[in-house]
Amino acid sequence: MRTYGGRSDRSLGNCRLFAAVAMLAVAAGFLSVGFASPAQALPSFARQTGQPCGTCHTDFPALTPYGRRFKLLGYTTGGGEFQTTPFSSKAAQDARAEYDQMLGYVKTLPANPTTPEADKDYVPPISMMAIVGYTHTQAPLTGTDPYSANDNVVLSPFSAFYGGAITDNVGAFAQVTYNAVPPGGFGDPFGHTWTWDNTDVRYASTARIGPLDLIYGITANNNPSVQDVWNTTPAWSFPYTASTILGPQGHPTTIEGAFAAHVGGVGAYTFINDLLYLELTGYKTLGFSQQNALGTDPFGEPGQLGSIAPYWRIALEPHWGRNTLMIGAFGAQFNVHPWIDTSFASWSTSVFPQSDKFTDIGFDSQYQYQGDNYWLTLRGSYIREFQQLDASFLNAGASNPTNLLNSLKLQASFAYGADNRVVFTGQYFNQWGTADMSLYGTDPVTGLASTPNTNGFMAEIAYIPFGAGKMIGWPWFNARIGLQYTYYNKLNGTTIAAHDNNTLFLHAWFAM
Amino acid sequence: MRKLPFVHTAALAMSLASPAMAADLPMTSAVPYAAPRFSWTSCYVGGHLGGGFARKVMTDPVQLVQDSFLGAGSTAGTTTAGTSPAGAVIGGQIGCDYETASSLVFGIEGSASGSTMKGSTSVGLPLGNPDIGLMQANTDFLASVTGRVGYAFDNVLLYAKGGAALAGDKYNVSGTFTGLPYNFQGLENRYGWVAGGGVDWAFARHWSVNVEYNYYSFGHGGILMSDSINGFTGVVDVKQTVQVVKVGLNFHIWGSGW
Repeated sequence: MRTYGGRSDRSLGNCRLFAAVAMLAVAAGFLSVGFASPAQALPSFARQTGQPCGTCHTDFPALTPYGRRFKLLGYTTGGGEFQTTPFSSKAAQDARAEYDQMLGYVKTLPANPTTPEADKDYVPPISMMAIVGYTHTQAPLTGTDPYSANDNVVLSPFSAFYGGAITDNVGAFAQVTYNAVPPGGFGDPFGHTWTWDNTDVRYASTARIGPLDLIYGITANNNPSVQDVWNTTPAWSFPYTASTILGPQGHPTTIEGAFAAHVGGVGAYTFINDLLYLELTGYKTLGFSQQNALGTDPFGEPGQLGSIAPYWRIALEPHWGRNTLMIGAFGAQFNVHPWIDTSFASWSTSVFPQSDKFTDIGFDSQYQYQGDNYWLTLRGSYIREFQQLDASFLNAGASNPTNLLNSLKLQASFAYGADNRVVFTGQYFNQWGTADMSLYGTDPVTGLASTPNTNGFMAEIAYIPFGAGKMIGWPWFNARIGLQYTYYNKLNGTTIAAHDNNTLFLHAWFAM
Repeated sequence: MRKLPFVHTAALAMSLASPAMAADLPMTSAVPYAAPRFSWTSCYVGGHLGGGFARKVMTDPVQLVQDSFLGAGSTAGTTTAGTSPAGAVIGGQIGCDYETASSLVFGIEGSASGSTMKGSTSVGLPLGNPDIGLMQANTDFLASVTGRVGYAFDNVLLYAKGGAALAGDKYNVSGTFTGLPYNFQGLENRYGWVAGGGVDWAFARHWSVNVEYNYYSFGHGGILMSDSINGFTGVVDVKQTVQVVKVGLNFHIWGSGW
């Protein structure tokens, strides 16, 4: 059972399951009946494009082929009832024409707006999101202060977004998030509730060079793989939301979020002939004070990068009829100087002069089929991480000088319906690697060094009331009600008490 | 792509129209039918299966063990221990080719394989009782990024390739020394180069099968070995090469939207 170091009387929630279900039902009913509004993943994107949620998302934030190209084109595609940018011009119309010309994924594209672009209103592409969730674990947790040991309802995260075009060729997805205090409190003085979150600012354009039809662009972002358009790479992979009381457990590889919001990166990408995607991006650690100013706990990352961390991506996406297949690979290398004292007990923000090198290579694939009234998506990803732990081994942070860590995810998702869409998702996950006593402790049965081995299943059913239609209030609201269950067969190298961490997470996700 | 329905519609219209015209046409044509030439200009994705045969020479596992227990400098001379791991290789590849008008083909390919290559050998420890240690070597991962150049005889392509390579290796030296157990382990990602060649046969419009041989050289380099039982560490040098023979199956996408 996972512990957080002590229980407190300052529990925020002793709510029972009935109360939580009732609250979520009321909330869902309020949106469904009261507003009777269709949903968009980011309502600001919907206002800009004039497209309903289901055009870009099978199950937000999971993307359709159309959604992937909207992102590749820099979030700049217009066509809605509002001005695309504060500086809208005919060029925006031309970009859209180019976009439509490239694509054949949407059976019914919206008619060209009859209102001249100059006569449209401009609404800043600002959106907000809130997730309220009820968490139940199979066994009560300890050290969850300021929450109860079990059955908690928490409103977290709450986010504000800039999502949309800035100019005809520049767009952004930028997120600022409030995270509730984690169970057990912050582990150091630099924890924040408000922080910058996933951010991706792009320049994108199109070109034709001989037989090559190109989308090309530049991305500036803060999380390796947040710029990716397939939901098989870490930043946007399933689960799309998780309990803040007990999220996914185990030992993910470094590329799976270790440096999210701790780095800044700039890269270039191209999508050739609507088929071949290539990208190279370099990331650099933000300074301690920079991270702290942005609301990111610097000690939340394994250390500071000693050099530019290269991230690369290649993907082939052939498509025929209603079928879309992607086969790809990605990877990164992180040269990390670990913190000397992450507790800040010694008032030190220094790092070791030696560094650990993490080399991640991932392989992923996705198959999507668009039926008349459904989407079927199959996804798989495998990441192999080679760890050369020069710093940690020398300073007793690791027992081995080198370790291997592997991460596998296999997923199937079936989204049925247009409006009143129901999404069924199942995922098998498995992490395994080298035994290391300093990193993973001691096996409770053998007494030998434990492993990071963790495996199990996740299942989720989600209800999205508005997916394809344009009802009253469109395009300002969005909602997703989900029931998620995580089952651990093995956790942190042992099956003993692994089931205690099995988690039921009932949540309502609102966007406006 | 959107163009396809129109192409198909046109083809359908022509095929429907042709029977009515057939009676008016001569039965033989003055122009002999020429089958369309296979074009290697395409991106492709596929899988492969084969066998891998490595050669790994470690210097000096005897000194690693004896000096760890008895102190540095205890072992006189240098000992090398070689093993030849062998096993299956299975994986996938992704690449793109361009065929010139003169049938030369230029391409780039990324390939990754899992491998069961494993081998072991015994080494004597004369300063023990004497004792015998077991050296094991595994290669469980091979990856490469290569360029390839070839000449196409229509649907048969002869090619050579070369580029950068990566091997994921694991080494163990284990046993007992004067009755005390030890288990040194070292992992590494080693970079090197690969060169090879093969023949690719396009047996259908989208499909080709190839037979390929690759020679990998990873040079030699030091590996830090650690013994989790006794807390010993030491460096050994390993020189390694790998040879792979494999059969691959590729699906050719023929550019945008096929």
